[in-house]
Amino acid sequence: VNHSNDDFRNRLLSSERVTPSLKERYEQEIRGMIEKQLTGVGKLVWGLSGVFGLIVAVGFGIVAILPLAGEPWQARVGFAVSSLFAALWAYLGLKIHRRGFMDLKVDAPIYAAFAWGFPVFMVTMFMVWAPDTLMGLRMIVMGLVFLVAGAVFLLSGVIKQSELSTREKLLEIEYRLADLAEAMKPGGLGGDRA
Amino acid sequence: LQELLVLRCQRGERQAFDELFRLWQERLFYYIRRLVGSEEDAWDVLQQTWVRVLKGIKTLREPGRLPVWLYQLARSAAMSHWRGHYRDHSHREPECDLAELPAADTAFPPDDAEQVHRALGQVSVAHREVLTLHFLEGFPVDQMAEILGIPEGTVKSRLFHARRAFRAVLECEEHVQ
Repeated sequence: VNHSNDDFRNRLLSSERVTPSLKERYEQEIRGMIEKQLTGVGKLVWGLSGVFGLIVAVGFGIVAILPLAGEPWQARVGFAVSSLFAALWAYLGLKIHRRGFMDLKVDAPIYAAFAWGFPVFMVTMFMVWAPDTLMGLRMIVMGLVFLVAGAVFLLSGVIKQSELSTREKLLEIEYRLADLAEAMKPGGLGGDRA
Repeated sequence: LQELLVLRCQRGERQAFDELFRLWQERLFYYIRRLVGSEEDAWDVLQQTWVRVLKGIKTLREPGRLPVWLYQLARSAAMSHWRGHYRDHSHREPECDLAELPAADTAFPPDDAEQVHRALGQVSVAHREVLTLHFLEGFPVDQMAEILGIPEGTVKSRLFHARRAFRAVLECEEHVQ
């Protein structure tokens, strides 16, 4: 579509009369599709969830660093990682509380990954260090299902992201080349300079 | 740049979605408004279109197809709205006999956008749809066929008849004035 078509299109679009109240309602609904505005209770829940995460993070962190009751090192590793998860949870919870809305496109997948990743880690840890050999073996077999699924989930995400990044970079290069070719044309920017 | 925008949307960038809405909202609304009876319905259909866009943008393998894909979704949402009652409720026949008018070879489309806008409201929905796509995006026949889900030959013939009907409406308008 060239510039004159663009101009005609813009004039045609501006011929459309819209009712401001209907448009306003539509825009609110569109915002609601991406952002979930938190009610007072919702904000409170996210705030409390953040504070709870903070308390757990500190408590588990202390247990991990200071072996109060002589916990084995495996348990301390578990507490350390749990403390890390809790700290991240607290950070995200307090961030949403402060922002006042939940970004359904960004926040929801992060929380889904959290809620899923943490059990996978814990199951893996328990199954590896289970004291009973037979029980441990059964847990390993069961846990492997979660582990493999987790790895597939993670890898497909990484592959998709890197594929998109590569395509993005290639497109940027294409656009730059096109700009350059345009500038090199006689009469273009480069042509004038020459 | 549109292709970059699609990739950014696929990566879940919030700003990219805002940009996509901003770039396409008006055009899609204009198109949908030509297909459905009331403005209120048009806003609802546009919202449904965006729901489909948000759900499906990650599956769009060729970002260059964005315009065609968006219009396909908009059309499909409008069709769902009608639920099989896709017909022209707001069609008004021109106030003079079209057959009596000479088929003058005027410039197409005329430069007066307001006049085009008014005339679009007076042709049948099928003609209005194909003309709207033509005026807004200047789609080639193959892409229009993809959006409308009909063979290219049918698009050509529909476009031909649509242009003729549209010219007749314009001439009729001038004749009445």
